[in-house]
Amino acid sequence: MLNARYIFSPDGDRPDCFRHYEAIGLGVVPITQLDAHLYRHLENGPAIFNNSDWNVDSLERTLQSRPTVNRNLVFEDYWMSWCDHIVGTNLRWNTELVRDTNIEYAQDLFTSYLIDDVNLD
Amino acid sequence: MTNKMKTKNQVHNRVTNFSLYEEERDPNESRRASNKEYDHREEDKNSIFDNNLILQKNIDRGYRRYCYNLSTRRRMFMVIGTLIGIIIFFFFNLQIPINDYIINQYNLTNEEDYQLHKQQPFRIEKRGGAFLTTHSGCRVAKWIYDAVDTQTSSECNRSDIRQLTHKNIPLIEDYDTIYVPFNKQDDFVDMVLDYLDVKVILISGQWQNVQRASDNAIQRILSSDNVVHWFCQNLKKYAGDDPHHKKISPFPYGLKELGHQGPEQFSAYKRIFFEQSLNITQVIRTLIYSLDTFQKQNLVEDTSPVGLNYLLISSLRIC
Repeated sequence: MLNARYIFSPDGDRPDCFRHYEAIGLGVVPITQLDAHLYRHLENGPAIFNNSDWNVDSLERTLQSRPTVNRNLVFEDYWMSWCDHIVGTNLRWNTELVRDTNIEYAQDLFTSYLIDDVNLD
Repeated sequence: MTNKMKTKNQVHNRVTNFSLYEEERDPNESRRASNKEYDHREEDKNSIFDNNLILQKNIDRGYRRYCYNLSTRRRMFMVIGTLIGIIIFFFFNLQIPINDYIINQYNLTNEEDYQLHKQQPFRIEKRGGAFLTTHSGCRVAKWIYDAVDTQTSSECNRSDIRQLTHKNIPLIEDYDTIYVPFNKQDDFVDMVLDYLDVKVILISGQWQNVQRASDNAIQRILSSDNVVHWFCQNLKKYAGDDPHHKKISPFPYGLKELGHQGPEQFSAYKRIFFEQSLNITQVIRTLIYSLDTFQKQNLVEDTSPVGLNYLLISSLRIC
């Protein structure tokens, strides 16, 4: 998967599955059958929604050759902040979480890649 | 001679005698007197000298005290300045994310609203979260509702003090997050929801493929004024008949951590993830990117990781 830029990730027993997150965490865009609104949380990954074309040649012509992937989607911190953002206020989360320096470093690394995409001004 | 004349002569004589006395005075005596005067002067001088010494000492002490006070003042100024600096630093550090979070609450009534809302940037706040897994909901939520001993509860660490029961409902505060697994939603509605008098956020999920909650329970959740928002995994299956409801948002499923070959897969994933993250080529690329950004941006006001601290961290990581 590491050598790919896109991966086919069709629905399993449930539409959202861990394969999408494995792909995004490794910098690969999942090509899914997900509904764009019901699974909109993956939009910032990004993920390809509602795909029905599984032909590699035609997909190669339509998809970006070098997609930028937000690998922060595999971290809990991202989703806590995302939930705060959706509700519009700071929510009360578990305060007993233990910080992991490796994960924080990875978060810094990924944020730096996306600084052009996420305009914080 | 009259009496008046006598008295005049006596006075005159006295005066002349006095002058005579002055003239006829022994020079040694005057020298002695002068010596005495000299001695007195010397004594005076000595005393003055002593006084000067004392004064000088006092001045020295005063000066020292002044200097001490001055240095104390300087120290105080330095301490106060440092404190003000720290306060300003924390104020700005905190202010920026707070500003980012001051976002008008959107009513996500339709997809267009969501498209507008998603364009709003948000900053990722570090809270000590780990990898997103299928159990992240119960890990990050403040409360866990799982009254019966089930597989889910054991995965969520049932001995946790965050275990929500009927007894500790009064401890719930506004905007607390509560994790309710799918197979406990009916119980939650009956045992907790009706007794809430604060506004809460529900998070629902479960890594197993289970039945969804009853329509009645989902309707009661959505119609409750005390439920501000409901984050739910796999909306298509578990959010009832109206997954587009404005109160509902998706919640991610996450990486596989447990279950069939889950731990092995998860540890392998983490190994590959970190190997790739710490890839030297990527780090150098990031450093070049950071240097470029450092030149472009005014990093004094920049609290993003793309700053000097980040450069240092990256350099240390390389070393």
